Amino acid sequence: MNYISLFIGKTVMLFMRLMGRNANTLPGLIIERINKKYLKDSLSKLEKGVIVVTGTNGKTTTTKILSSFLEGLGYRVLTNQTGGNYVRGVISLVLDKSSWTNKLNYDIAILELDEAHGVHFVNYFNPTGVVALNILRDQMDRFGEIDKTAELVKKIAKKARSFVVINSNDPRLSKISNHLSSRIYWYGYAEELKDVFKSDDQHYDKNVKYFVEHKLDLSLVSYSKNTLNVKAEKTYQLPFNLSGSYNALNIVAALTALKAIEGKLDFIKIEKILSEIKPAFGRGEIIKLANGAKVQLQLVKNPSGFNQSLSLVNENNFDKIGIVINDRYADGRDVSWLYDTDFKNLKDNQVFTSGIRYLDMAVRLKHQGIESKNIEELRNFVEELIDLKEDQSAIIYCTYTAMLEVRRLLRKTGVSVEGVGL
Amino acid sequence: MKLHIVHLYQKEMNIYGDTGNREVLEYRLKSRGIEYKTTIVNVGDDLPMDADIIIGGGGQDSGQFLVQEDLLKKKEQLHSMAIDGVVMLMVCGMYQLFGDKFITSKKEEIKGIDILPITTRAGKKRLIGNVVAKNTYSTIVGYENHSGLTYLKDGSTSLAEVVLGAGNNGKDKSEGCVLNNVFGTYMHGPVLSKSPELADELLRRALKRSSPAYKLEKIDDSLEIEARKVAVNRPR
Repeated sequence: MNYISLFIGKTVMLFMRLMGRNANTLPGLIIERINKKYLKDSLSKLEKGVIVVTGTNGKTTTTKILSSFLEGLGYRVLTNQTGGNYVRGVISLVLDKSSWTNKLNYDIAILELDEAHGVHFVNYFNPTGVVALNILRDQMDRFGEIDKTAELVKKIAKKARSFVVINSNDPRLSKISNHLSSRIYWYGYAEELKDVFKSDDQHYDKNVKYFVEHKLDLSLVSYSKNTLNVKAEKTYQLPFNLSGSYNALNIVAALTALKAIEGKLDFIKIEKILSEIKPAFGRGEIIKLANGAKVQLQLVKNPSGFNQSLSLVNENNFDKIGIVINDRYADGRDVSWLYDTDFKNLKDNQVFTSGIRYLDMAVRLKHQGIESKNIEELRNFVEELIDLKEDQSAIIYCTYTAMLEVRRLLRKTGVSVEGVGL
Repeated sequence: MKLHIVHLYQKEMNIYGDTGNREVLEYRLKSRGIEYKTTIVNVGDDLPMDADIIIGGGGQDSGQFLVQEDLLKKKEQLHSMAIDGVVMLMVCGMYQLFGDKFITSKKEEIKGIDILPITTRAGKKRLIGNVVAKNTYSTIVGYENHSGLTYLKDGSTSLAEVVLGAGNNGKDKSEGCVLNNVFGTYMHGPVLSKSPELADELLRRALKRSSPAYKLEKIDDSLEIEARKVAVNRPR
């Protein structure tokens, strides 16, 4: 049955690709319908099992870093880096990466799954490990409430056979540990970094204390533009190619997961791997224009992520700042979260808005006393943003579908870029 | 002339950007050179007697649970303030608590403070999505996300009539409730961000109490109105 499923799935995939269509979903959907056991049987072939990375923010980056670590250590890693972070997507991935003789030549799978799809996934397959990054207000049009999201993460973590990696600074995640039977590895940041990692609660309550309830296996002690200090049994200085405090913490999350998988950390190898790592798709990646000017793309999905990534404006001297807000399903239909985001630090900057709800963004800025130039047509917006002198730089904050459109337009404008995957 | 804005339970009930309502009011006062001060009242804090406008927002069920007891302690004071004409704007979770009660899906009763003539019980499915509603002075646009179905008691007035979305209960086209100067609504957005008319209605009523002759100056709302034009045409 599995072989027949594989044959059908791969054939559909082949035809879709011949027709130039995206085959990330449909083949998986068909197999999900006809053979409930396919996914489980296929993933069971992986000697080191499956690691699920879940949480509100940082899934893609953490998945990418953890995969890079493992690949650097010689593992053959199956990962859903190109999107498709839902069960059908995972089935499609497995179909695609299996040989026609039904061999899956990988040692381990690192899968990024959001909270809802993660629950769906663990109903099919018990992962070896689960990495729980954070629970923040996000896409409440889908999940209803944050507390409900915490319940979902608990359900996923309970199915972990060997270990769970948990961010100890997250009060909601800290609580789920009482319900888990597998080994827990804790990571987090040191108290000195409290104000850098402003939580949703801290946004409205200045008196929120530094939260940590468990002894940390690994912690982020400090970070700067090019390095970060991580405390394990002693403190190590490591290269930091990404930007933003949250990415420094994502690296620590990936390191903790690596420790759980390997049982130890080889910091000499880790240092080398980290020095070569690049930002994930749209997550702070820097695109170099033909004249040498730089444009940074920053995905924003929710207030805490937006608040944290706005600090990039303080750490860099951007000449132009763009914000593109769409409200399609993948962005979240609701835009009220822009009012839980604090834009005051954009004062004295040249700010441009675009996207379907660009005027909502403009109104929000206006109420905070920030003037913006509002450009309805995204193409014109992109042209304005990339109109930079050679030593200048810009940052564009975009919601998910806005990010895809901005990238497409950047490609169409014909700028020659050194960026990744554009 | 100085207005006192009180934000009720910012710490516990802040999940949906409703703090923006306060920022909109502050912005509109600042633009007209009207002085104001703002006090944040969380659980356990005293409610200032001289408040002119009190606002409250939506929260999670757990947040509602946290504030309920404290709110009951403030019930009498809030009642007398409401009778005195203090302007209040309560959104979503706080709107529900300003009614008589909320019967949850487990048939538990959460007591409200019974200022607005409404009653709420849990519905089967969450009502989530964009909302457009109209009344005589404004088109109001926002976003709703609630499981409670709210019904107006006989003779009470809704804030607006639903054009798109569910509103109070998804059945009778009513959205929100108004009694005297107390306003309740399910609309996030924040609701005042793209309804300058409603924001000014609140300010006008608040100012009228201390300065009956005061005329609210017009300010440039073209950006808000353009933003509303986009928002009303978005799908549910």
